[in-house]
Amino acid sequence: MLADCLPHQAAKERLPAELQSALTLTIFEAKGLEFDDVFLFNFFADSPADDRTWRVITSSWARSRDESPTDTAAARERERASGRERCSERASAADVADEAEGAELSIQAPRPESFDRQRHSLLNEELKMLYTAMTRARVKVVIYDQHEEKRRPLFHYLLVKASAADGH
Amino acid sequence: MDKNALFFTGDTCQTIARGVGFRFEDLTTMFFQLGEQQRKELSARGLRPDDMPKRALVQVPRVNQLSVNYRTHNGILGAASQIVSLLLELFPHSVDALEKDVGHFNGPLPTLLTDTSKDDLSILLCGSDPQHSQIEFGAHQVVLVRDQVRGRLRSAQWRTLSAQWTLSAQWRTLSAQSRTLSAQWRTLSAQSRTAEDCEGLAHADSRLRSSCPL
Repeated sequence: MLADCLPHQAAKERLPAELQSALTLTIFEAKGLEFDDVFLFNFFADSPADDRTWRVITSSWARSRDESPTDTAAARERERASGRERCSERASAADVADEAEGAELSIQAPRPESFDRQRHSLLNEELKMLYTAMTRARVKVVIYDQHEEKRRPLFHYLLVKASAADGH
Repeated sequence: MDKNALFFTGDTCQTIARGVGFRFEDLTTMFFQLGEQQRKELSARGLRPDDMPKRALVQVPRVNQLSVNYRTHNGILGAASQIVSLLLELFPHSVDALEKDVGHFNGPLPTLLTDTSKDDLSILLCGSDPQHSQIEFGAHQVVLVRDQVRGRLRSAQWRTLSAQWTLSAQWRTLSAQSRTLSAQWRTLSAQSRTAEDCEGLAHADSRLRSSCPL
């Protein structure tokens, strides 16, 4: 399996000595500790929550933004005109606004998933885990993840909130 | 023994042990109910709370929120508080609603690597020339993974990747900034920790004296 990860076994030997000693800990092991820099590796790819569960984030922040006073009159008008369920209408009204905001981001807005406390209960633990991991760092947090679909909702959320930088 | 000489500390956003959760709100509720129960028991025995020594009565503990974060800067704290906002909105009974904590410095926002898909990884690996890396990767850095088995298998892959990335100019700029900040923090957090310890000791001392009226 290691061979799958590295095209050439020799690549590992070519690494600088200081990188060979990189400390790898689980989030549980790192709890209560602090480091200058934290590299969070495949948090989403290895998450027990699926991508639909992670997409609850998108409907969540879109909804809370819709309730804010900056809400456009057009979005409110759409909501009033619609006979559909309030919650889902809010999410779709947010979709329209997303497109405008998302235009400046390199990340495409995920499709919002409406929240169900029972079905998405895993998200509670997952968010706490992410919070714990990020707050281990004193200086720098780098999040690298190979699962594009699962990482997208949170990446998008943090970028829209201007709380993270897109490192490419 | 003083029933109230107890000290609890924690952060409810970090209750990650599976199936375990607590809030300070729940703790205060618990003490309130214990107090009520005690009052009932006393009155059943024909006693008034005033007849009892104060330390024998269960009181609702005071909750102090520490809203200054001495570990890190506002770049990281801002992102962390966005996660807390999600928790508060989706699972309001799972965390305490507290003020956002602030740090003494501004600093780099968490970096999200978005262009490094699995396909790009092999290009990154083959294209890397880690021998020219000047970065120190030591005890001050940590790679956080979900589980150790998978983490070990992947750490070789990760190291190569981070070596590649650390070569970028962006990284060097960030590191330079962070080294300056780090030095400042070490001084500041040393100061503040001392201040905190003194406060803590003074507090413990007054508690001790109030519980031992000799």
